[in-house]
Amino acid sequence: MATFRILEDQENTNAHLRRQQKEAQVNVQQQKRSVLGILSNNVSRPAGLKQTKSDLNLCAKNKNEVEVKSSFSIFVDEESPKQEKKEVKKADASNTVFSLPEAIDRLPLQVELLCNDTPLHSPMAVDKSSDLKKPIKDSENKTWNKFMGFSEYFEDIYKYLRHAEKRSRAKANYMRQQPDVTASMRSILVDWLVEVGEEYKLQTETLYLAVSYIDRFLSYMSVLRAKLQLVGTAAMFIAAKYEEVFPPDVNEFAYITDDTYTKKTVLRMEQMILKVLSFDLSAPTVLSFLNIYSEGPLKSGFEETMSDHDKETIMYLAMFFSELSLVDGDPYLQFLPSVRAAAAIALARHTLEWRPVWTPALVKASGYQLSELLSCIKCLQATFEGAVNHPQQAVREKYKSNRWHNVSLHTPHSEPIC
Amino acid sequence: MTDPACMHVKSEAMDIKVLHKSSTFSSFTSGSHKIGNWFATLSERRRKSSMKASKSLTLGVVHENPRFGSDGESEEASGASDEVTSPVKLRPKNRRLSEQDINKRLSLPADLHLPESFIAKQNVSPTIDGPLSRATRRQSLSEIGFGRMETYTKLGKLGQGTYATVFKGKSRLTDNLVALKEIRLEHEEGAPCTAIREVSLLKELRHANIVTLHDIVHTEKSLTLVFEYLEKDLKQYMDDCGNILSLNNVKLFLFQLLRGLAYCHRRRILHRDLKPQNLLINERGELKLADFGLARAKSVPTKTYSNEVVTLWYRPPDVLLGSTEYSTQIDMWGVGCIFYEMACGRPLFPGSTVEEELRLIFRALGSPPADAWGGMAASYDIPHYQPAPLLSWAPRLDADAVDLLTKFLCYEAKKRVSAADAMKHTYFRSLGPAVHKLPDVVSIFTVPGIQLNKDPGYRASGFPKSGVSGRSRRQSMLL
Repeated sequence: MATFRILEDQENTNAHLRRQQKEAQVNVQQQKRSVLGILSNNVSRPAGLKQTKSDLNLCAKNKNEVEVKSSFSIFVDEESPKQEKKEVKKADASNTVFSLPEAIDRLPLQVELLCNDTPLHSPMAVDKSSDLKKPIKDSENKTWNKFMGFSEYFEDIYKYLRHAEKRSRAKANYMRQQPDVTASMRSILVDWLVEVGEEYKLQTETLYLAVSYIDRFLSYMSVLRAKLQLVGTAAMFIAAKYEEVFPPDVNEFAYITDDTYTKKTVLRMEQMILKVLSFDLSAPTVLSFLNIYSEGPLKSGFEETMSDHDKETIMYLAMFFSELSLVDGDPYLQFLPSVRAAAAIALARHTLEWRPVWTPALVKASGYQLSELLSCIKCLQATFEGAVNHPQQAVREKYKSNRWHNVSLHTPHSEPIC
Repeated sequence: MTDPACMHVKSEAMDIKVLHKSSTFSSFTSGSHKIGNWFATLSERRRKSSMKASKSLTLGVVHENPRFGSDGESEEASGASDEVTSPVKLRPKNRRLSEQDINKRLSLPADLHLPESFIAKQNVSPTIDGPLSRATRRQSLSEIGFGRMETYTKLGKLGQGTYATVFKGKSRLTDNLVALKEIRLEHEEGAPCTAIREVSLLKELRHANIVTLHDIVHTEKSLTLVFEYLEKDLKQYMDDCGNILSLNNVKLFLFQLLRGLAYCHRRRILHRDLKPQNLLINERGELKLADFGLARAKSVPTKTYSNEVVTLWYRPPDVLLGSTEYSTQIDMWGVGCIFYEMACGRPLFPGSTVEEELRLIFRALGSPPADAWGGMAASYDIPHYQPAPLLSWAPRLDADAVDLLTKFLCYEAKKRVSAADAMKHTYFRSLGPAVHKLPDVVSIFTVPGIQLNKDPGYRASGFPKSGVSGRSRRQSMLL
């Protein structure tokens, strides 16, 4: 019950009225400055959003602004505070989601934050330069070596995870029942979360968890598009708290939405998601199965003769495929995470011309025959082939880097897998 | 706040509604026509998925201790339900539902008292006949009283920490005692990491040697976790018997600790904060792992323990030296320390700083080999210690026990014995084979011949009411 209490004092307009307002919003799209705008616009991202390290403080915001092509260069130092204030006001006025008084109350703070010391006050700035972050980043590369310690319980754990993955699943076709949000909006949201994860150097697992929370939440609750990003933000916040050693604080999550939502709103949504998911937050993800298949005690994903570099490349390519599949909810929600992981490894091996694509060791470790994976592999292959022209490019950008062996630059294998 | 109709309105304000059937929310309070519609939409579309969902929604599925007999209560209440006359006849086969039927239907324990008003509604509304959807079940559980603070009476404070307070309480649904861990949400970061991990991981764990989470009450101001109540923790138990435990009891406690831990490890969950304060014990001698606030699922980097939060005494040397390579073995060192403490009546390595802790360890077990932990120990100035034979400082332990203790206190994490293997050690042979064949949720005390002995140092005043030390106990639950 308490879940729904969080909604009071939000607004006193009724749903019908708000819908009209929302339509009005679409017309004033230009002036909007957040991903909220992007979600209804479905504008594709300009390629090559690579940021230099010094830009990182700002890029979460800047990226959003690029899309919305409003004059929100307020983060640039040359802008006069006066001008900024005006623009912020305008944007808030168009943002009818929240009651006006609240927006006005926040104004002075916001302007100060934006024009004066964004790099200083931005929690991101602190995080980027912080030494604390460094060891984690290093250790993340080795994360999937750590399953080895569990070798003793490996079979039990795998059996358990295969059981657990069936327990909390999103409905494959939930989008059909969503009255306002669409699959492409979901894609934009996930794409944006990929960027958020990159900017905050979050564990990849956090992203997978957040997307699974979003899908499960949307399976049960209908959400208006104006609130979709809020659901995504709060889901990422929860996932970070579950998974990260040093989760970013709530201010940063409000900040990355370009202050479209207040801290308080993010916290309310957090509470609502926790309630709807009834705290079932530990479901195994595609990534956890990727780790098991490739780095379990059986090392089943690899041949003994492979170099470490080759092994990593297979792993990263499989991760790239899996993250692409994260962006497109359909058709992948129908597949179990273990199937998606196994299919991604098979396709990675196929793309890199390792034969056989599905070794006896992989059959043994996963319990899957290649034939059981084919329909998922075909979907992944189509997604891979379409990736270059996909409107969302964050995953490709991410995996272009050296850190991931530039795996997204690989071209799809010309032959079908079998 | 709990009125379903209000809830509907409020959820609209957030632009978020329950999918498919917003009438669910009003079905219990509004006219009968709505219920009919709702039922029609419900049955077909959600038949398949809802059955799955009802299984996974374990929030309110309670494993109350069946010892507290319940049959009489059920009969009494079902008698009451016969008095109810349904104002609206919706379905041709309008059978009366007893409390037992409803409990069974909602997968609730049999000893639950259902409010009369709820039983009356169940006889009117179709909840019980149609396939049970996730939302419907949630609604039903909420009407029974789950997830609501009114359901629990606070009886007294057990302890207080920085942002959580633990109360002894009583459930109005079962009359059973509960421990209410109340986490304040005023510190502006929403639900704390520890609570998020503790709840989500504990929900996966159903085992006789792991504390049961009965319910969660989540409001804007606080998050209250409702646990089964156990009389004391191991620390207090040891205090109450003057730190001299019966060796039989030491064996039973250690076995139960290993049993609960092996269960966690098989589910890739590491506890990471084992210490006597986190092991709860009831009158029967059942030991249960508690406080999963630092627990993690599977393979992520360790959170560096902060000295102010977690006692150093049970931390393995590799972690003391900063290792983030860890696995299930991280928990096994602490098991060894606890084993020694139970048997010998004092903590094994009571250091107050990392350096002192390491010195105590090395003094007792000998200096580590130079290449230990990838040379990590090299950066510390470790004096050379000869290993002291364990027996000399653990006079109460026999050869088997010392052998097992040595296997726990192994410098090299990979060589430390696992919980599952330790249970098979000859030390436990005297317990017989039956203790290994129990289903997860069954206590070892169901095995004939397994029982707690009177502890030599036990003071009569000790057991259930522990007035003096009551204040400091359960501090560990307060992270």
